[in-house]
Amino acid sequence: MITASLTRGAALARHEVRILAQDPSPLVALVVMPLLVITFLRPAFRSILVQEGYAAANGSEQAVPGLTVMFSFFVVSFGGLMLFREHGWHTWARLQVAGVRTVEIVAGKTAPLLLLLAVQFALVFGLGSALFGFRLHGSPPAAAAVFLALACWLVALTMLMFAVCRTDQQMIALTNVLTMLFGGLGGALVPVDSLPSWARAVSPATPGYWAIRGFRSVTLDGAGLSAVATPVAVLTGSAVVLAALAAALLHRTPTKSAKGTRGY
Amino acid sequence: MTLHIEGVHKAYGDRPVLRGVDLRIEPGEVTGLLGLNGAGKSTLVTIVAGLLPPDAGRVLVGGVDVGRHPHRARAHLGLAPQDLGIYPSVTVRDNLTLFGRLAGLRGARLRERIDKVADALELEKLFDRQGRALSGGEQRRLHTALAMLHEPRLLLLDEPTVGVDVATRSRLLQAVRDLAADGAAIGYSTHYLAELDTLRATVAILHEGTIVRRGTLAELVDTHGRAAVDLTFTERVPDGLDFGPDAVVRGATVRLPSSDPAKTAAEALGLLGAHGSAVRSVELVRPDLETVFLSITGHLPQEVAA
Repeated sequence: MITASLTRGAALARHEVRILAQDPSPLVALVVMPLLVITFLRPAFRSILVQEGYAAANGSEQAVPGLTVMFSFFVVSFGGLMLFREHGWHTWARLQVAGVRTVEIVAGKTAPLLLLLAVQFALVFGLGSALFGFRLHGSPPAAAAVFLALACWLVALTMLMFAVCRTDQQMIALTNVLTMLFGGLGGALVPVDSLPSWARAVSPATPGYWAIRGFRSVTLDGAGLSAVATPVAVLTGSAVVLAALAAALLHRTPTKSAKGTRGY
Repeated sequence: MTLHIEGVHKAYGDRPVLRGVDLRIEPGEVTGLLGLNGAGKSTLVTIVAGLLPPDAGRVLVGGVDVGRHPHRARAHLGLAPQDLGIYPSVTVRDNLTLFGRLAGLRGARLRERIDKVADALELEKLFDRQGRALSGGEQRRLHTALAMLHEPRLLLLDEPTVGVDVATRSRLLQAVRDLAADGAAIGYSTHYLAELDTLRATVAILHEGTIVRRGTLAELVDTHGRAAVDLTFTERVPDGLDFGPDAVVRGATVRLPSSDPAKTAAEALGLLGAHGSAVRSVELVRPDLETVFLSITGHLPQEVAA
């Protein structure tokens, strides 16, 4: 049964990649948005990092990972559209009649978000290196581990948001708020040490905090895998909790609508 | 037996839609499900597909209880709902491949099935076209092909020919006939009564929440079919004319059910008096499924349930 379930999920994931390939605009947005904001904020980050004692910093060490993390949250909106448009296209019921369980549909259709995020991080980090002099300094596997933990967290959040929201518009609105909240509190717009005291207190409750802390260890402190163990553990653990919660809620199979989704 | 529906009830809030539906469809049988708009045909189809739980009663598909084992039951089932359900941004081939894979088809067997349904529904030349680039009729053919791909033992088609051209309709009907000849049971919901004749279907009439009549076309016409006279006026039916309690007005036409249509036509023309010049045509209607439906429900099939 598990093999059949994985096979169906894989078939859906492969199909979703084809759909994404037909319209790469989500990827363009995920790459262009952080690059634009990096351009504006890098000089300010440089000053802050120099004050923090990183005399050789050029600002990209904070700006590139921080803003990539923040804009990566928008993947939840894109994932929501990918799921809700199944209702707009009337294919959701067809998938169910084809024997695909709700959890398999959601997992199969959100798994390609991992690929989308991998391409986003690779392109922003690569272009950040070429345009803004961004360097990792630390261990690439450590950066990869932080990325993977964050990506899993975002996919799990997408599943949970879909389980909770009744319409695509609800999901997009909620995601936009969470993006600014998690990004701002996590230290994407200004380092956490520069936040007001109340914000510093709640910052560790956001995934952005742990992801940016992990990336900062690698980019500014030249850290390896052991140094990012805590951020990776926190992100992975909370991703498991979110995914389990989503799976439990999806069993209720609430009625969904895709009011903002164009069918044909 | 492939489909066995037993005492199915369903209400939306306070409004009962199905009030104890019983229906069986045998292998190789095409059953036309007739009813007014809003009579509950789509609700029944959705319950059979396991997408909506009934309030009471049970549905067995291939001997499997849909309520208790929906995933096992769906393995025997193909459904083409009334709303088109295809992926518009990928090709016809990708649409077919996805649903073939989800049904467990692989490799040569998958290619063979895709080729077979594509041949049956004339989709071969459209393989590389995106769903959104297809015409309405082509989309409808792809939509139906997705339901037939895995050779289901029970195929449910809900208004499969709405909005399609004559050639597409003919293709779809032929494909349904072929599938039934191969032993599949077909549930076919439609307003186009002539299609049921073409399909040599048995008929189940759903009215006021139950199956009120069930039988072959010939049986129903013999038992319930009444000849009629259609009196069509140039503009609208004049006010103040009483054609009797059985008369049904549809636009500018009055249908007068009758066992002696020639006599009824003469009487009706006599009744017209000064309005006689407003009559455009008088047509004698032989007993057919439409007259059966009218005689049983008091309405024409295109009308909306109260």
